[in-house]
Amino acid sequence: MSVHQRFFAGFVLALAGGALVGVIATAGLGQAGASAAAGVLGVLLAAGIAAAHYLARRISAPLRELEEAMHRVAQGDFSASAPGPTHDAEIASLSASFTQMRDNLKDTMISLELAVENLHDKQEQLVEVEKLASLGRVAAGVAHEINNPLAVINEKAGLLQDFLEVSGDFKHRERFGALLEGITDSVKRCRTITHRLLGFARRVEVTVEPLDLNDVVRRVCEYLEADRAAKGVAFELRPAEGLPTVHTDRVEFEQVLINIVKNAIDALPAGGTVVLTTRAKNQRWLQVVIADTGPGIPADQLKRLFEPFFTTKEKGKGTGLGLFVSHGIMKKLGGRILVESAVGVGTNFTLELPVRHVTQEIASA
Amino acid sequence: MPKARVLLIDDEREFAATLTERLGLRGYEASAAFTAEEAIAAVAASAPDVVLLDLNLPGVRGVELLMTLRQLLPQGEIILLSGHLDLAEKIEGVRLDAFGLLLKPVVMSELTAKIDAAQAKRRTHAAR
Repeated sequence: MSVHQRFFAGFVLALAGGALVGVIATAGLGQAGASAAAGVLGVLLAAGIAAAHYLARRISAPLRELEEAMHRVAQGDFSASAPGPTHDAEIASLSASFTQMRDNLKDTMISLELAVENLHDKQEQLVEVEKLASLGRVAAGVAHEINNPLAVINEKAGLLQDFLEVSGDFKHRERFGALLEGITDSVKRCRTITHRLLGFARRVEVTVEPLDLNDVVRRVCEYLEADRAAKGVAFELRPAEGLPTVHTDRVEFEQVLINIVKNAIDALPAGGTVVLTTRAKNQRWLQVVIADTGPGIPADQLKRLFEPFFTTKEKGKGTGLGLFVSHGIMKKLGGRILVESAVGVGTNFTLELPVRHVTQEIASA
Repeated sequence: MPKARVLLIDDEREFAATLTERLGLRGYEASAAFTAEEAIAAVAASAPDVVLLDLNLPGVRGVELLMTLRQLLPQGEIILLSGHLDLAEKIEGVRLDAFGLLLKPVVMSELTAKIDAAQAKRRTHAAR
């Protein structure tokens, strides 16, 4: 029997009892007793209604409380609790179910909120990656367009220098030479920028070769020995044992590593340490982690770190292209750069490389 | 070793004409072609030792032109010279046995070193 049914049954029983007594009294007594019986009937009827009312209250009050609590939960208030202890087993069971449902709902809501937050972060990252990719395309396009007229200036100025070399003395000869040098020097500066934008740092051939990652890290440290000593910082190498051979372009990867380690040296105060760790992320990916205990990068700058021409260095100290180009090179090599930083703690750059180069994947596909 | 006979293929006329003249001043027998058609005609007519090729000529896929020139010029060396080379072109260039790739604007000493190296390689091949 449900709560409602029981409530209704109680009410009917009380009414029926009152009525029955009334009927018996009226039948058994004479006219004189009839009015007395009517009085008794009234009392009994009132008692029946009171009993029904009591029953109704006893059942409906916790139900109302429960309904109120459900309403609050529906509004998102998970502090709402079920009615207190009750004698009615069914209401107690209903309350327990409510409490469990509320707790489950609360857990689900929390994980849902986390998932949505996570999704927002991922979307933001995706937008950043896409922005960088399109910036990269624009930058490469611009560099290409500039390189052609720049090459014309370079050759024309060069031809003038050639002529100057074989010419005899004439008025303003020295100024002439100095002015031409000014032109060719400026061309060289532009060339440095456009070539870096295109990711051509030292060489343009792609040569995929088998490499020992620890060996590459050691070579880069040797290469940067002078920078390290000048700043008064230390290198600490933590090479992993038994790493698989990685297939990639040594010069391009070294360029990235040099950029990142140089930044780490720049970020550190004298006496600091750059920690270089190699490790296998899994069977297919290797990592080099470059950690410094420098001032760290604030979150708003961290977002813009790989944008072209973004630099935290003093004016004239950095082109703002190092990380942008490094990002492009790692992408070309089929890998990626990850960065974590905390202000006042330091910065970790992680370079991730596939064990096999993308061209090998294509060749074996 | 005699200096290489060089053909420069580039649609940027100002660049090609000036660089040709500068190479001439350095003792190379240099000429220029400004279109793919001119380039193929020049290669067929004079069989240059070394070709400097811009992969970004209008109206023709650079890699296809490279393949054509390779067939026409089995003894010659081809150096790619471009304002922009993407990775696919680089890989393709290496696969098609281009002697090297240089990015514009190029430093004269680097260019002549590359041309001389190509010429030396060509000669050792021819001597075999």
